[in-house]
Amino acid sequence: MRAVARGDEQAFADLYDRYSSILFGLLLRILNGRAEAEDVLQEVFIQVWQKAGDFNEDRGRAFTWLVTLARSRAIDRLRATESRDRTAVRAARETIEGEINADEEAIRSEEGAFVRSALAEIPAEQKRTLVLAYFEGLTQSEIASRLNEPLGTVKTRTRAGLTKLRELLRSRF
Amino acid sequence: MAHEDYIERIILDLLGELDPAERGELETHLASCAACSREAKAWRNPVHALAYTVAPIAPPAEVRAQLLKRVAVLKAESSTTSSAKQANEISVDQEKSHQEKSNVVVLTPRSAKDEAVRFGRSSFFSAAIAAALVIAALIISLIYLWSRNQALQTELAQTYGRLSQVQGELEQARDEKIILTAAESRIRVLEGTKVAPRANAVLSYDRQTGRTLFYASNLPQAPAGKAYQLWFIADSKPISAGVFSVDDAGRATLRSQVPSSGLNASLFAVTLEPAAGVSSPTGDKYLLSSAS
Repeated sequence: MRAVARGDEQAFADLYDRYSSILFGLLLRILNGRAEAEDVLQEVFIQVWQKAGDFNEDRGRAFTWLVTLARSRAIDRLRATESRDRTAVRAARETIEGEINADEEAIRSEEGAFVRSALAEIPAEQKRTLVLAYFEGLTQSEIASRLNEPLGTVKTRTRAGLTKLRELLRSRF
Repeated sequence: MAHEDYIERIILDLLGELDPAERGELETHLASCAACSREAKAWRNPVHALAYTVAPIAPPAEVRAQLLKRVAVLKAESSTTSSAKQANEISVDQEKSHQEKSNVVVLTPRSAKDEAVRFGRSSFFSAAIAAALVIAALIISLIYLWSRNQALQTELAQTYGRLSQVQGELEQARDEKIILTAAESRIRVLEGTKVAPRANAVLSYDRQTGRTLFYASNLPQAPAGKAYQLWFIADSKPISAGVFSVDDAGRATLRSQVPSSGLNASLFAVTLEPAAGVSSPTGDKYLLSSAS
């Protein structure tokens, strides 16, 4: 990352090769279309090129930084272009459990496998709120109205789900 | 606010749900609260762990190619002029729109080379234009600076002239002061004679140095070819203390040096002589000191 900050184009290309597939997968999951995902992927990496100097190892791992950037841009794009009434296309994506568990091609790294197994241990309602928040970019209130649940319940479940995840991952990260 | 409340905010922040004001408030708090700061770090990985659950999907190859090109341009931008930058952006945009139109992108080595050559040529051309503009700007600045320099030189010469003039005046003033205040200075009054009854003068001289200061008024204009001369008469011998002429108002100022032979003079006179002065008085007396 420091090499990229220095303007090392090869280091940047290596970074792209290493993380682009994961980030592209994430972007496709969040955004509606391939063209949009491609646009945002480029934007994200341009931002990486320009802001590599801001990355501080102290503040977390490179992967987390990249994911934060990618997700943030994707959610912004989503909020800007999508109407508040989610379409049937998105509703169809809500076979959340099925997606996570049946996905054989999820990150094959040990970490990926570890996270997936940890997530499997989290109660379904908690997982659902987390997925809606993380991948759909819904605010807690939006989740509450989508699931027809009280806001307080949503907040509690989000917190509980993340706490569980944090405990499970503690040994790993 | 209790730290417990901050945890909820930390999580919302990681999910991107805080507005800028709330974000700012949180960051302010984190900056001063080590415990919450640690909490914020600890929640990062669990939140983004969800990213690990997606299937990685390889993006199309042209995304990589375009990206690397843009990055190369961005890198070059930081050390070239704006006209070169515009030319590059135009050529990159053209290539980008060209690629978007085609369904299949085949990057053979030859076409890649062509693109590189076109890219190289247009950037050389625009770099040449940029260089020419810079040179033109430099020449214009040079001409302006040269003419400014000329003007300044003239001003400087005038200033020096004025300066030496002022220095001269200052020296005179100093002399006068010295003469008038020196312990060994003498002051004599001269009065007009029959030929210039209203004329009068004051004479001050330093008996140590011989520096002489003489002011006269109401003297008639000297005829052409003539001037007044001041005499120190010591032991009946007249010693010249200088030649002078009067202005339109009949006033005269003489600053001069009298030889040591005249320093113990007791009598002083002004006569009208030929303009160059003489060694011994020949003309009429116009001013005479009163007998001491």
